[in-house]
Amino acid sequence: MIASRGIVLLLILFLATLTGCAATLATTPLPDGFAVKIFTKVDAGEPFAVNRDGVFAAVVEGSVQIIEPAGGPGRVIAPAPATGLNFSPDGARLAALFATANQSLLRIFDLQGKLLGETLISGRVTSLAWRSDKELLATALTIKKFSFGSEFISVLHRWDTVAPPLATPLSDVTVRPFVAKLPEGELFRSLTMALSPYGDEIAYSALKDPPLYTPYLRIAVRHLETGAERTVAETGIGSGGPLYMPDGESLLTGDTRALTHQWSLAEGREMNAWPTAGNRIVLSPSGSYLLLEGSLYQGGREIATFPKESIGVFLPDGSGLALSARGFLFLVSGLQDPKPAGLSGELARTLELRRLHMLGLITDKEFKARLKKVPGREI
Amino acid sequence: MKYSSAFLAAILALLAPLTAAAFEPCIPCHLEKTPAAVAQWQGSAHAKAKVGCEKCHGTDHEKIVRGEARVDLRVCAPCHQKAFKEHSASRHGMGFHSGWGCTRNLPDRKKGECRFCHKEGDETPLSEVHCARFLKQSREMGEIGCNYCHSVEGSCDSCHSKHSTDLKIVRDPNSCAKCHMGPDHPQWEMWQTSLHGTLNASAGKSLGPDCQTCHMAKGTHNVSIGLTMNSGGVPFTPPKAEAGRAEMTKICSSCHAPAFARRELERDDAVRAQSLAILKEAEGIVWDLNDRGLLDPMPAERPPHPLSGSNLVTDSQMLYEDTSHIERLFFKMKKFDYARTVKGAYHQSPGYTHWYGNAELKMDLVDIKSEASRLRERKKGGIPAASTEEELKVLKNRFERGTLSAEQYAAEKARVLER
Repeated sequence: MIASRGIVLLLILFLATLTGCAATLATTPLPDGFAVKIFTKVDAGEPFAVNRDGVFAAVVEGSVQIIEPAGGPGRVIAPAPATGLNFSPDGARLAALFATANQSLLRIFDLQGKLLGETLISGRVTSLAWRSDKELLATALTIKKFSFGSEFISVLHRWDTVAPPLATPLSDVTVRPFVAKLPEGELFRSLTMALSPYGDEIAYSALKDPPLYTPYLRIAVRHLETGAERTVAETGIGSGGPLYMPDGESLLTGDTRALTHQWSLAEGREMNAWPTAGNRIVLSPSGSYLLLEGSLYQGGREIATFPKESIGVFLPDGSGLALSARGFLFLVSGLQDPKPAGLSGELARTLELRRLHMLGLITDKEFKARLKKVPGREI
Repeated sequence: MKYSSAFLAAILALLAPLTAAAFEPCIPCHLEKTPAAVAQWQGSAHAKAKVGCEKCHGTDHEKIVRGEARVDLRVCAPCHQKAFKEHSASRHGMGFHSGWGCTRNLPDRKKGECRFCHKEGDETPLSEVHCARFLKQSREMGEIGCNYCHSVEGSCDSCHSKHSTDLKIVRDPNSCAKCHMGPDHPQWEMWQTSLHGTLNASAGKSLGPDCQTCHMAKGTHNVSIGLTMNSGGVPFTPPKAEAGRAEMTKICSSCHAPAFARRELERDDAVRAQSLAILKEAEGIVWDLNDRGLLDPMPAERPPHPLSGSNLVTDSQMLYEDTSHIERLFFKMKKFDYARTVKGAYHQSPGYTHWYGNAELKMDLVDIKSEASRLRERKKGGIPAASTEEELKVLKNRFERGTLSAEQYAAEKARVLER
């Protein structure tokens, strides 16, 4: 009897050990053809990125490492943890962001870890986007505290990776003390930026705090060359996005009412909504898969759920999804993301129409009608 | 008894000035220092009503000497309530400090002039009205060239003189002439050369009405009764214009048949509308040149406008200095020639309506078109043709200024986008 109890105990201990060491990704049943495997160990909650060739950059044991597609031990390129990582479009350069006291250090590395450039940016950099292989955009937020409230200064930096970045103010707002007492992470998330697939404009969020009203985030698009701006939507603090759809014609934003919205930029109307809050929104290259707070959607249908706190990035070829959860990087394979359609039509004419539209020189209706006439394009 | 009463009355009459003087500690000195002022006061209704110096000037002699106790409208108002209310409701009483502007930052400002816009000890201006043309002047020029007329809002003595209360002064159209004359609004000259004015000169007021007859009917201080446009010649909106027209028709009807009065005024309205169309055409040309960067110099290339900085200004704050040549032509067209055409018509002055007004107005348009052609030709020589974006900006500005209808704007945009 004692022996049998001992066996049961040993069995329980053995199973418990298995649970502790085997990293598993808790999911709902996956669709046919989907598979999950552990790729590598990473620092939990830290950023990671993947380039067009499947090379990963991640924070592992407090350092930035390059990990080849086949996996295996990483190559340390920076001995400190980065707060943001982003590969250039050609995949040959990695932008890594390091936080200092009141500034952000932005460094560019090649895949061998050679430092190609660096710059210091005032405030905390909240978003990074490569406009081309030679131009990097970064939004930075500085918060100044006063007795009567806090001043939020949002600035867009355009950096050619050589000369000092060009700074453009985006927003300067003073909020009431109770707003400034929100968790720091939420406050810095109030400024997020996405680059249009056309590269001609950005969408960004900025905190607004009108007296007597609830504070909110203003979602605006800004034409980079002319500075022309339009407000697209308003949403609650803590919402995710904005994020461009791959065709550049619409934006995704989260809200605090458990919905994620798709807004038409030409018409300013809501086109679609998903029943998940969308504090973190990730889109597959073609736009057919959408990861919202761990919920994976295909079209309008939820096909799988992953841990809510997981951080996801779709592989650039659309074949899979990389998920960072509980200290491991998992690869979800079997996705059938079609090849991105690319930007259709004569690019120069499309860019001209987008510019005229942003400047308010043609109406939404005229913009849409003219876009249809662009050679090689239909919307 | 009868003789004694008459004797007593005669004695009192003789002593009246002395009696008044006895109540006035100011008189003995001022009989020597400002005898004319004392004499005028002694003959005034104020003296008869025993309203002495201190009633208007106060008793702080030091303040009076420093020029800080001048008698403005607020001093007169408590006793002359009806006149105060009528004046305040009129163009004389409303915004006539539009010939002013804050001089705080100008060199050589005159400290005492703050009182025109501020109550003593109060930094808040009574109005935010500023005049760009005033702000461009030297202190001396501003004083004689602007303030002499534009202080009428707060100074009864602009018309009434300071110590005399003789109504003959203000019932004479000459009292209006000191301001209502000259190239920008020669109402005095227009009236003089109209049938009203010539009859007044030959047959007197009973046959030839004067300024006061029509604009201060029945002695009102509201000189704006019956007007249908603002001082810049911009027509009022219908409800306000209709009320003004009814008032003026009533005034005219005291001499003329109402139908005749209405017909005359409607003809003048037509002249105004036709002239305004010509003016707007010219204004559109100036703005179009500005949109295309063709003004010489452009607003950004000259001293900043006191109120609008480097923006083009063609409204009531337009300047006649530090502008381009074409703007200077437009200033003359708007401020002088349009005003003379329209005001000439309403004052029944054929010469001012046509030759000093309409003819000049139309010749101004010829000059402006010619200058615009020159500027455009000059551009063709050196600068590439306008891009789609520039053309669309020009169209947008024209639409926002109201020179293109929504349909025209859409059609013009389509033409540009099809290129």
